Order: sequence, then C-alpha cells, then structure tokens
Amino acid sequence: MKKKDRTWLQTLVALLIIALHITPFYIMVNMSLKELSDRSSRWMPALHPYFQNYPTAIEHGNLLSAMWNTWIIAFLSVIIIVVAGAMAAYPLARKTSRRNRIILTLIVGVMMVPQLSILVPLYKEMVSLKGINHLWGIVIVSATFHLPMAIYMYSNFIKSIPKDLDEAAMIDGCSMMQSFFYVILPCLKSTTVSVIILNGVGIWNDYQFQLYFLQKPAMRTITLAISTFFTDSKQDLGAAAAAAFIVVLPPVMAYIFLQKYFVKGAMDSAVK
Amino acid sequence: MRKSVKSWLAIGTAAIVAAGLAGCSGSSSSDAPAAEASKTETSAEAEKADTAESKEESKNLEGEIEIVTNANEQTYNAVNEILEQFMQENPGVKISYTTQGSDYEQLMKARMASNDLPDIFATHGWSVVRYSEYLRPLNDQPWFSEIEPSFLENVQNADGQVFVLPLNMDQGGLLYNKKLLTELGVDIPKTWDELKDICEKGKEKGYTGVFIAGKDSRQPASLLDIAAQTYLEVRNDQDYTSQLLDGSFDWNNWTPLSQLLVDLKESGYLNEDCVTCDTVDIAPRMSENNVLFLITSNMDLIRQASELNPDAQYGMAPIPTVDESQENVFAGGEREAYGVWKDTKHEELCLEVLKYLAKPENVKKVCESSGKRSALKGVDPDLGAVAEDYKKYADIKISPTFDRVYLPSGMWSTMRTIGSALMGGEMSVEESVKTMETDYNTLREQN
Amino acid sequence: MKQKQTRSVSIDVLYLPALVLLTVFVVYPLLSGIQISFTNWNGYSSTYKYVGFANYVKMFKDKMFYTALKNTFLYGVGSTTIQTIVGVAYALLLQKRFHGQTLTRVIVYLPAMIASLIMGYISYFLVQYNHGAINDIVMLFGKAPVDWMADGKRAVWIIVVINALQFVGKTMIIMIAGLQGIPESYEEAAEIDGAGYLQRLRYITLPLLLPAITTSVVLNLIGGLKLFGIILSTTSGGPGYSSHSLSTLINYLYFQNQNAGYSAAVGLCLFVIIMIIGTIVRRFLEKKVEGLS
Repeated sequence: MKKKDRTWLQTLVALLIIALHITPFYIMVNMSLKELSDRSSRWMPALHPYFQNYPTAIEHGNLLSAMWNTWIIAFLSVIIIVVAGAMAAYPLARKTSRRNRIILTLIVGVMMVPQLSILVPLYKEMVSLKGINHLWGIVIVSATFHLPMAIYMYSNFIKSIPKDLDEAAMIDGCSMMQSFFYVILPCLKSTTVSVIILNGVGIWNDYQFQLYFLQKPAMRTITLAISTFFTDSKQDLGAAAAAAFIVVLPPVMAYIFLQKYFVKGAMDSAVK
Repeated sequence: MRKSVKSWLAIGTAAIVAAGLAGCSGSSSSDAPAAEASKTETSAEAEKADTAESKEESKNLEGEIEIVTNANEQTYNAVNEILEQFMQENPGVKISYTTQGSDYEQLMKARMASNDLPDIFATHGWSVVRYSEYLRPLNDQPWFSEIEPSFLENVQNADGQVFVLPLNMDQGGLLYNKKLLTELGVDIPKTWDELKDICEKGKEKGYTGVFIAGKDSRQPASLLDIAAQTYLEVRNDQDYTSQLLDGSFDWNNWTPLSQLLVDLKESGYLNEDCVTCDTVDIAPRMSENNVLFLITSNMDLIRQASELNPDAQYGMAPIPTVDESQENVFAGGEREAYGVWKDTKHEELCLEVLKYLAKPENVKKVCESSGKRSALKGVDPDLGAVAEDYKKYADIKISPTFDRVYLPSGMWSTMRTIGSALMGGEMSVEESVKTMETDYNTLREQN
Repeated sequence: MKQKQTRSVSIDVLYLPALVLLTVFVVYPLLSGIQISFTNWNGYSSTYKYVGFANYVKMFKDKMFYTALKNTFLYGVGSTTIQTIVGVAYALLLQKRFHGQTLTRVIVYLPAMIASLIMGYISYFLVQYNHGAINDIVMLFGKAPVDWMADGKRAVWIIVVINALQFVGKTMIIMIAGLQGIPESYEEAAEIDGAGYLQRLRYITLPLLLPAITTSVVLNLIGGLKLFGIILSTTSGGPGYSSHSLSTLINYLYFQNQNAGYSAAVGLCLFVIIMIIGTIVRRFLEKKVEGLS
C-alpha cells in the first residue's frame, strides 16, 4: 500500500521534471509554427500552424547540404578518435611508468584547453598547412580536440579490466601488443559506442572550428547555417526556429534509439 | 634506461615536427615588404589588363572566384541575381557568393591575419582604414567617374585613391513614428532637447522614447556615433574635428555624448529592456506602434516594420542638433561596397565583375532591395515608403560616419564597450570619457 | 629482462599517433600563443611590435578581466554544484521502476543533444523582457514583467542555471550507472539494521557513488569553466561586460577590440587556471575515492 503511494508521487514529480526539460523544445517547435507577424504569447499553441517556415528554413539555410557536410565531418572525425584513442589509452592505462603518467596528465590537461585560447595561432597554422576549406583540415582538428576525452574514457575502462586477463594472454606467449589487439580491443565495444555518441554529438554541435576552417558556402555545417538565421540581417524567427528544430532532430533521434547503449557506455566510463 | 631514451626520442620527433611548422609560419612576418612591392606591380599590370580588355570585350572570360559579403538577405539576393546573370552571360565563369552575416568581421580578420582573402569582398565601411593595404586601387576603372561626388570622400584615402565599387550608401539619422507623433501633436524634433521633451510626453502615455536593442553593443555605439555628428562634427562654435585628427582634442568634450545616453536611460526614455534586447526584435517591436524614435543607420527598418504591421508607419529625419542655429545633417557612409584583393589570381575577371555590378540597372536593383540610396550617379531607384523622405531631405548634407573619419581604427569597439557599460550602469560618465581618451591615445600610437 | 624492454617500448608506440596530433594541433599553437601574448598584434596586420609584459600588466589592472575571471569561476563552480545535486537527486528518483521512468530519463537528457548556441537562442526567448515566455507567466499572476538579464549578477546566475539544466542529464546518467553498481544487498542489510532512508543515503549510497561523482564533477567543472556559446547567444557578455567569461572576453578582445596580443595573454591565463583547478580537483577527489576502497 505504502509502496503504491510512493510510485504515484514519483510519477507526479517526474511529470514536473519532464515539463521543465521539455519547455525549450516546446517553445522552439511552437515558434516554428507561427508567422513572424503573429505576436501571441510563446506559450500559446499555434492553432493555425504555419508550415511554410520549414521549407523556407531548408531553402534559405541550405540545411540539407549542411546536414550532409556535418555528418561526413562527424563520421570521419569519430573514426580517427576511436582508433587513435583506443590505441593511446592502452599503454597509458596499463603501463603506469612515470613518463606515461605525465603524458596522461597532459592529455587530460588538453581536455581543458578552451578552443578559443588557441584559435588564432591554430588558424595561422592551418593556413600554412593549406587545411582551410578542406575536409581533412576540419576533420583532423575536430578529432584532435575530442581525442583527449576519448583517451580519458578508454583508459578509465581499461584500468577496470582485470590485469590478469592480459597477463594470462602474455603467459600464453602473446606480446603486449598482441594482447591489446586480441584481448583488450574486443572488450572495448561498449565504451566505443559511448565514445562515438559523445563525440559524434559534440562535433555535430561544434561551432567555433567550423566557423573558421570552413568558409565555402558549399561546405557550411549546421551550426553555421543556424547562426545565419540569428543575425540582424534575417529577421525571420519562425524559420530560424524551424531550422533549429530540423538540425536538433538527428541527434535526438539517435539518442532515443541508442539510449540503452548510451547508458551502458556511461556506466563503463564513469565507474572505474 | 635505454628504452626510455628511445621513446623520449619518439616524442622528440613529434616536437620537431611542431618546430618545423613554427619555422614555416614564422617566415610569414617577412611578407610585409613583399606585399608593398607587389602593390606597385599590380597597378602596372592593371593598366595592361585595361587596354587588353577593351580589345577583348567579346572574348570569353574564364575562372572561378570567391565573393564574400556581410549583406543582409535582401541585398544578398539582389546581388546574387546579378552575379547569376553574369555567369549566364559568361559560361566559363564560376562565382561562389556568400554572406556571412554578423560573423563577417571576425572571419575577415582571421583571413587577413593569414593573408588569404576572397577575390572580391565587401568592406562594410572600412575600405580605407582597415582593408586598403589588401585592396587593389580602382581609380583606373571606367565607373570611377560615376561615383557621387558628395559621397567620394567616404571611400577615398589621403592620396585620393579609391579601393571599392560603392553600390549604395548608409544614411544615419532619426526614425520617428508618424502616427504617434501626430497623436502627441508634435513636430519632428529639430534638437536633442526637443526630442527629450517629446519622449517625456510619450512616457506619460506609456510609449518608449528611443528604442535600443542593446544586447548587441553595436546599437548603443551607433547611437553615440550618429549623435557625435552634431555634438562634435558640425559645430559652429568649435573646431573639434581638426583637434581629433591632430590629437589635441580635449576629451572632456565627449562628456555631453556619454551624458546623453545616460540621460535617456535615467529619464526612462529608453525601452525597459534596452540592455538585453536582441536585434532580431527591432522590427517586431517597431511594428507594435509604441516606439517613438530610433537613432539608426538602418533605414530599411521602416520597410520591415510596415511589412509586419501596415499600420506602423515610420519616417526618416536628420540627426537632431545641439542647438537651434546648427545645421541639420545625416550621417553617411559606404554600405554595400566591393573591393578586389590585390593578390587575386583572377584580377581581370574580378574587374569585369565589378564593371558588371556598376551598370545602372544593377545598382538600381541593389538599392531598391536594400531601401538605400545609390552611391553612383545616374541611378534613380524606387525606394518606396522612404522615397518621400529622401526627396524631402535631398539637400541636407551627409557627413561621413564619425568614427571612420575622426577616430583611429579600433575606437569603434571602445564605443561599443562604453555605450553598453553606460546603459548597464557599469561605468560612470567620467570613466567612459577616460576610457575613450586612453584608447584613443594607444590606438593613435599603434596606427 | 632484455626481452621485456623491447616489448614495453613497442607498446608505447600505440600512443604516438595521438601524441603527434596533440602536439601539432594543440601544443604548438599554444606555444605560438605565448609568443603573441608579448606583442601588440592587432589580429590581422602583418606588422607588430614586442611589448614585453605590457599585456600582462594591463591584465592585472583591467576591471573587465576581473569581472570575467570571477564569472568564469561562478559558471564553473555554480553549474557543477547544481548539476551534481540535481543530477544525484534525479538519479535516485529515476533508478526505481515506475510509470514513465524511461520517458523521464530520455527527456531529461534530451537538451544535452542541442548545440549550446541554439540552446542559448531558445533561452533568450524564455527570458527576454518583451514577449518572453517567463514574463508571460509573471504577467499572468498580475505582476510587472522583469527584465531578467538586465542585472549582470542575475544574468550570470540565470546562465548558470540554463547551462546546468541543459546538461544535468549527463550527470544523471553517470549517477544512475553508479547506483546500479551498488549491490542491493548493502542497502537491504542496512534497512534490516533499522537505518532510515536518509541514513542509508548518507552512509551507504553517497560514499559508494563517489567515483561516479568524481568523474562528473571533473567533466562538469571543465565544461563550466569553458562556457562560451550559451553566453554569446543569451547576453553577448552584457549588459556592459558584466556576464563575460574569460572565453567570451578572449573572443571579444581578439575580434572586436583588435587586441590579439592582450587576448592571447588572457587566453594563456585561462589555460593556466583551468589546468590548475582541474588537476587539484582530480587529485583531491581521487584521493578520497582511494581512501574509501
């Protein structure tokens, strides 16, 4: 009896929480269905939805090509992050020599470097490497900045794998390298899923790097496309909200469908 | 022991790679004299190209160029149409044309830093002060003589060189709500004091006196900049302008300007959210018909507001003056203006594109889409609702934008800081004057 | 012995790709950033002068810098605190089965999927004075609308709350994962011993959750100290300069103030601060975790 009461209360609290966190989405969707001249309250549901905002948003923002570009960048970067990240994490987690500990600390330190503090020299460097407006330029820079996070997650996870496991393999005649490929790597699947999701979403939503390293309109990514809606030159809030909603949709859908993997991945990386 | 040496070595290699890169970019600082040399070269080449062009008028142009601007949507669409037409007429030409909106300045600075500029780019009012060292002088172009004489000083450097093709011009002044002014039974204010009186009357009825979307610090800065025309430039009694130019200006004379902003704020004439309002809200708020005035150079707002609410009718008037005897002026300057990068690989093509843009029918199209006046002679655009006002004030002088002429490059950002801080109450009038003075002196030294 | 040596060398090779990337695209720019911080470079011109420590001297006298520094701490510590407390509370509530449990989890996490730039724009429509969604509610109760972001101090806290609520789902998920790692038998045993809910929370659940808390505190703190996009899109650092963080100040100094040298100096300072705080917090919490096991 008592327990049932509790559940009811929990559901009520949960409803309040849902209301709180869904508000931004509600406002966004609601705005996207109103004409600019509609000055009703933002809470007031759009009773006569104005769908024209969506085609306008897609056309003016060039959203489809922007989403395709972003997808390619995220995809390639994540491959680099996963490969280089998993490889780097193994020696750093397993061989705790003084030097490796210093390197791990430095890598975690890089995680904290605000992108902005080195934007200018980095831009100069990329120009001399001819990486501006090239796919590889943005991919390699995005990957590098998300790499420390992946190394951090992988090394936390590898530390949680019993050492006996690879030591047993080594007694069987495997080199440490072989034991990485045959023993450790297969264990990293779940962590890899969360690395992919975390970094994929991160790169999908990145703004700073893409702004400077991709200047050709044909290469424009989603955040760049969105930001053009919020300048004083285009005062079309309805289309802006529609565009925001469209670009938010893919990560949201991905999260809803991959939710289980996400929670599992978080568990692997958070608890050592 | 040996193992660690070996792998430290590996790390060392990485460091050397990095050092190598350092070497590469380090050499870029020696570019400066080279750039100078190439400047003279290009003008010589240009003459050659010019004579060649007249012969080869019918010859097909070829190449791929990049054009970048910060134009608003209407202007962008108009120019884009023209460029597409150009590409149709010249099938060998590919033009990528983009607008970067409010990120434009940041982007251009990053590209200047790396000497990697678009072939043609918009100079948003800075063709002389900021961009001239990257631009090809264009005095040799056929449309040069077509530039409105009264406008020429806006885009000319001290040696009379012009670096851009100006299409239309900004005209900064006072926007007033026709309906509300009639309702209050008052005329268009001639002086700042009259403006304040009307604000007071409006305040009693719950109207906003002067509207500022101050989340964007450009807005209060623009008010200061426009007001400076009558407070400092066109003075009968004082010659502040030459003092500003030679550095002998007494900055206490800036006090009335900072004070104006503070007075408007403290008397409750500004909109309640003057420090937090975003620029996207300007036109919608104007359309609600409870804003009396705006001090702006974006006359297109008049059209935008009436599109949202046909009942919201605004008019344009010159900047209020400090006293009755003073001459009325507008603030003006280049708006959509395109220059050619001096190091472009397609100079001939770029010049052809500018020639094409300079055709009267094309300039007309750009002016009409933006609701702004033409910077070239012989163009008579239909400017809709504002046309009447333009005609009415046709004889009023348009003085070049204050900060671009009388303040060193970089002061605009100081004005943004103080304007925003004054409204937010984070700076006293004295502090703001002090800040202006300090930055003025440092920037003068630097430039 | 010798065999083992060659083995261990070969395994360190695995982190070389990562190290090369980080050296070329992070460490090298960082070093040239130091060089820039000693110049008066305006950010684009081809000429500049070395000015020694002038930028650093200026920094220590600059009111704007101190405001941004203080705000950076508020953004970092404030968001972390809220995220941790609310995140743990959500996790405790949502770990048990009930109707709508999964849905609630999904929705709490959803905002973390939005770019913070976009989140900031949406927030602007919530907190704006005229027509803002929050003011519409305030007016419903017959009160006068409030210009929420007009007061710099309040604006900072509102941004803290927005940021915390956007990312609280991340913390929640880490906490739920942590809770699932606690054997149920512990709690049951305590319950049999007569421990109340709060007691069990205090002496069993929270201590066992500490490793999860450590991870999320470190991650949130770093995120909060770097806060950027959301500030730009809600206040652009205003009113005046009162809600700038060091990140937005760097952006402002470099791109608007044409003061790349000074901007680089502030950037370096931010880097050092984040490094020190991150390391200390990590050390401190890790010690606590080790002490427990």
